[in-house]
Amino acid sequence: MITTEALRDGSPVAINADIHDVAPTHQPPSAVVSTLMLLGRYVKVGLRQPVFGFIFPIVFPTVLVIFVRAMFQRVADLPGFPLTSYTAYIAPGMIMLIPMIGSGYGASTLIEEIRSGFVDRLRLQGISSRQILAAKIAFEAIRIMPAGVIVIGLLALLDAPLRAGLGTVCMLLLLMCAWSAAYSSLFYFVAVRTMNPQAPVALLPLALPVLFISQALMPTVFLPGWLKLAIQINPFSHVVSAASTLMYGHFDAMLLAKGFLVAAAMFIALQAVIRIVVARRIGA
Amino acid sequence: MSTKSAAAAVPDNGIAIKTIGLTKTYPGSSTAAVSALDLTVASGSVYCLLGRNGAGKTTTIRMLTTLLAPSSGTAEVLGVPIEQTRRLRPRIGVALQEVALDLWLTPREQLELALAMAGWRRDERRTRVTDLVEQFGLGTFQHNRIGSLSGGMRRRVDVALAVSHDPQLLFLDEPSSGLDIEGKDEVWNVITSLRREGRTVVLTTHDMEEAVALSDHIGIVKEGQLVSSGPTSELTNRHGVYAYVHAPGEVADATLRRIAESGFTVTDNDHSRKTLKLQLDSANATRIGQLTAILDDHGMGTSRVEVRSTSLRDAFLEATR
Repeated sequence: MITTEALRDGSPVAINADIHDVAPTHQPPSAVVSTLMLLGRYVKVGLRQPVFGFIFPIVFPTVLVIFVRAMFQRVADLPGFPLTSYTAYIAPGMIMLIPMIGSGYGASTLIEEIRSGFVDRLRLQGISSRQILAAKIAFEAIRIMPAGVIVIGLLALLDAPLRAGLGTVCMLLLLMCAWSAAYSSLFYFVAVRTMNPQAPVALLPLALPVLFISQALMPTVFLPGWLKLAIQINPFSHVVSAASTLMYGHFDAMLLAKGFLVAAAMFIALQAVIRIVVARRIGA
Repeated sequence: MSTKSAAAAVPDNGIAIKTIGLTKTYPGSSTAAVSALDLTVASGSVYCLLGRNGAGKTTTIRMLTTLLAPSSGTAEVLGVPIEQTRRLRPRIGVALQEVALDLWLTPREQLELALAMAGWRRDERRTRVTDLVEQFGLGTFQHNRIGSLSGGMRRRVDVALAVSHDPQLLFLDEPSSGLDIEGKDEVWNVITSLRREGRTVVLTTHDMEEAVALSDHIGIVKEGQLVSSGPTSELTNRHGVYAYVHAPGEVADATLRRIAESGFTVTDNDHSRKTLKLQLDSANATRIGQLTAILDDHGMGTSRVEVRSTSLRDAFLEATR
């Protein structure tokens, strides 16, 4: 029904009384496409403030490789050391360390986006909180790719073995992504639980105990008993073992599968809790 | 147009929003932020929600825009229950109280992304964004990062985003706060043009001038309840006619007592007690002469007595007292 009415200034206006019956003229894209659009936005914004998300993951492992190698390379001469090169030994740990550097960046920005109302705007645009989290996790994988390629390249130059060449590089990057999804979920959990953008940043030093309570820098045969037990509990140790078997020594498919499974289990468990907290805090 | 009593006056040209007993109590709170709200907004009208800070305006907007689930009650927006978020969200535009923008994108990028997510084709997006940039005076800043823009400019981008996908109903939560005169004019022009197109606008504001200039209907909210509502002009008249006495000096207690004894109700006086506000009703409206006589008797013969209808400000203060 169309009726007319006069505005206060006297000009007639058409009132489309059935305007609410008119469906929107544009169909929103599928969930996958809109998630990819959101991912594109995260990458664009991440590249405009690259220090935390992109540069730290390159600098820290690179510096660590150079210094630790220089300081401890004679360790490889000790009886019982599994390899002749210390660089080769620490390579898997250094590669898997990359996702842990700058891991709080995405979680911290998520809370700022919730607080500023940006997430509300996304929800109004038909983006669900699941899509937001999926785009965030995918961004975590993308942000570590340049660092992954650079650090693996550097380690290869320093004689770290890559058993199957490019295939090994691809598998290492895949494992790195799996570990990134799992480890960053911990930061997202802390962020949504506290709703404080500083909380995931405060959690950044966690990377150090996680690194040291593992066999990434020193074989377990040289470590005290209590530390051996802690290493078994640390999921990072299993991911490093998976990376090690990809790079050198006897290839153990079970070890590789275990690394992926540990990362997947950690990811699924944390995401399940995150979903509950997010649904409660900001809605679906 | 709102409340059950006013609902009868809704023209039969459609209803954009209808709520029945809409209530929201936040977890851990013993009082309701919005309590049993019955609201009816006619299609094609501009409806303004007025209320003090914390009165429940934003909570109401958040429920109606599907961002917050009500504790009880029902609401339909554009004929769609608010629980049907997927159906409803593409039809509404929202500018919330906080300017919700991506500070690292430019206005142009932000608008393009929003339209892409709404399903607009690339060529349509470009044309639409160019129009919006022009309409909101963003031309000079369209390629600057939003983080580098002033608060007022960010607000313009925010409102531009809200209207970008051509919504049928627009919610604007304090849309002109922080805007300069030029920016405010642009927002007002947008609201007026949406009104001309027959679209519905729901806005909240603390600016009485804005409410009077833009809205057809006003609802006044206090402690989560709609305490007064109706067409803008009716609302101000409904609250009566007042006599304002501007005295040359402080009005003494004895004078106040005498005025009260004569049947006048003093509803307000300022801190210096130089201005009195007296409600006039059918019993005393014709006795202004008696009032001036009392003032004469008390040596305040040079007082100026002004009789006028309530302004929206008066009506608001009256309703939220």
